[in-house]
Amino acid sequence: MFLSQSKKERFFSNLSFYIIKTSKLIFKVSVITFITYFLLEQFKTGLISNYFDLNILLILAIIMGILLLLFSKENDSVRFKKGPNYIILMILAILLGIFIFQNLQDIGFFSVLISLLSIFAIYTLLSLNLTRYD
Amino acid sequence: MNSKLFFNQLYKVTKLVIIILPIIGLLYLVYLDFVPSGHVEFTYDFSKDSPVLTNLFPANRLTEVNKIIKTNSYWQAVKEDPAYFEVRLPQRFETAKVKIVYQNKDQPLIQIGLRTAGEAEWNYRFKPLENQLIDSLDWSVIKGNGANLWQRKKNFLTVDQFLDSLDNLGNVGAYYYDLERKFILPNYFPKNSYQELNKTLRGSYSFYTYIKDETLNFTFKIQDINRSEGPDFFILKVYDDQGNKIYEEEYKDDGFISKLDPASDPRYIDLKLEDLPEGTYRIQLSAEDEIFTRQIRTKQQYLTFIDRLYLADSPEYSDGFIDLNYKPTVIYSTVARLGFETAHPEGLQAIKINDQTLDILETHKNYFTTAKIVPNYIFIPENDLKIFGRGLMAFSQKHFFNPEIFQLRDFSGNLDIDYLITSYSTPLEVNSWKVNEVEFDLDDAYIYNRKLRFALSIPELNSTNDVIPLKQVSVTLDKSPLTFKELISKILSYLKSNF
Repeated sequence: MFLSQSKKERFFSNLSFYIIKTSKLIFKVSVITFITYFLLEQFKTGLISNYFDLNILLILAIIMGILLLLFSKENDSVRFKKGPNYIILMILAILLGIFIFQNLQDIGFFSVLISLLSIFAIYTLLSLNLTRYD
Repeated sequence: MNSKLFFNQLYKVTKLVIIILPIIGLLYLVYLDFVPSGHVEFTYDFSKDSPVLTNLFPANRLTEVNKIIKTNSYWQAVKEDPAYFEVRLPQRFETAKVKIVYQNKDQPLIQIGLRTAGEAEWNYRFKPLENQLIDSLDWSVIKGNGANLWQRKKNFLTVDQFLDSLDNLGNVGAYYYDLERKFILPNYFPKNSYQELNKTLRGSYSFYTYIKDETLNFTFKIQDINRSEGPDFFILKVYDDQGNKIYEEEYKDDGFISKLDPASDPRYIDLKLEDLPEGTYRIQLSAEDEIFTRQIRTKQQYLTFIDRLYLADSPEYSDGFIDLNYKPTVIYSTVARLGFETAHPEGLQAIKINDQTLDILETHKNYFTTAKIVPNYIFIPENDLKIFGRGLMAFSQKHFFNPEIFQLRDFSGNLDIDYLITSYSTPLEVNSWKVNEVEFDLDDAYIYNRKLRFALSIPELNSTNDVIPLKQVSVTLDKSPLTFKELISKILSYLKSNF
């Protein structure tokens, strides 16, 4: 029984490790794909957006990024020593800023200003919240 | 296999799939963008923004988007004419078919226009989506060969039969259908004598004339009333029967630009063009309403005005012109749907169109009526009136001819036409919504930023409190299917031009 419990624990530990690694991979791939598709869209408007909503990739990347920050066991030791993963935080903040910009484009120049301020605010808030002050 | 090994293997497979998916996705999107089948359809149903078809604009001419209760359908209404929408083109196409689902009870004409390249900033080629004048004809209709044939008496069973007999038929009209027939007046001979039209016309107008082995010879007597500030120039243009501009001349202001200046002395503008082939020519005077044409003198026999006449022989203008002719005017017209407007109390009057009477009781208001008989005589007792509509007018029947018989812009059962061939079909009605589509050739389409622009025009809407609800807008684009050779050459030329 002791052995089967430990087997169960190992199984779930490996499963959660698999999920976290996969989430990290999805996060990276969705960010890179979003940037690539976004740049291709600048070359030829409609190449991507006529048939595929880029917001899907954006939202996927944001969700994966949040999950990674909250549940990444891999990062725990790093977090306790050095703080949150600043690269992921920065990417997440930028993605959210892009999302905000896309939804505020109608208001013109202020959408850029608001997006930049949002990036700064989100990054600051997340990095403060995820820092341990032990 | 222990779980660690299993999940490691599974991760490898997952990694491969996750990395390959976007690449396959991109290849698929590029494939869709090339439209290899040559056919693509985009639809906007007002439920959410479409990435390909824009929302209708401008917003101030439209109502809010509303939901139909207990359904997943949405609609938006046009309350002022015209409204526009654009469609993004993934490739270059040959034709575009626009299908609209809408409601209309009282508006006699709804048109879709494609923005085309041309000299004017606002250049649209319109085709009818709904024409109630034609729909109300009690003639027989047959379809075939991409056309509808309306017959006063059913003499042909198929459109092909009709087209085979075309050369032997008279009294044929074409409405938005290319019959590829040059209009020639049989038994026409030029005359060597002058005739004068001594009617005062205000502002812009255009007219058709016909020549054969003669000089195109006109003299216009022009005066500027100088009632408003600023210079008043005008432009004279001549077009051949293919719509090609063959002459243009701009005439500067008379030198008086203040509204306190008197009316100018008459200026005589000569237009003489020699060695022109036989046929119909359109002469257009583009001017503000400050410019008055007091007389047109010509050797040509035909002078048929197009769509608009602004009669100005009225005491209203006696402060500027001393020799106005206040006699009532009679116009010979083939305009099926007539519009009238006056800007002054002097223009309030009762107009007669054959035995129909129309009372013009208010200034700055459009009055519309459908002529019961076409052609007809319009009796205008007081002048000072703008007459407009889709069709032709002349100051006497002897000056009238109809070169548009093969390119009619409206029709309500003209007495001299027994067969009407057209690409227009009556809209279908489905659950209280009408559906119809209009096809455009994109050869001369104006494409800006890879977008086509369309206009939805309802000419009489602005004079009423009516609205036109729309439930769906679809655009179907077609071209020849893409061959592999063409695909490679497209990629190579794209790379050459960009790198």
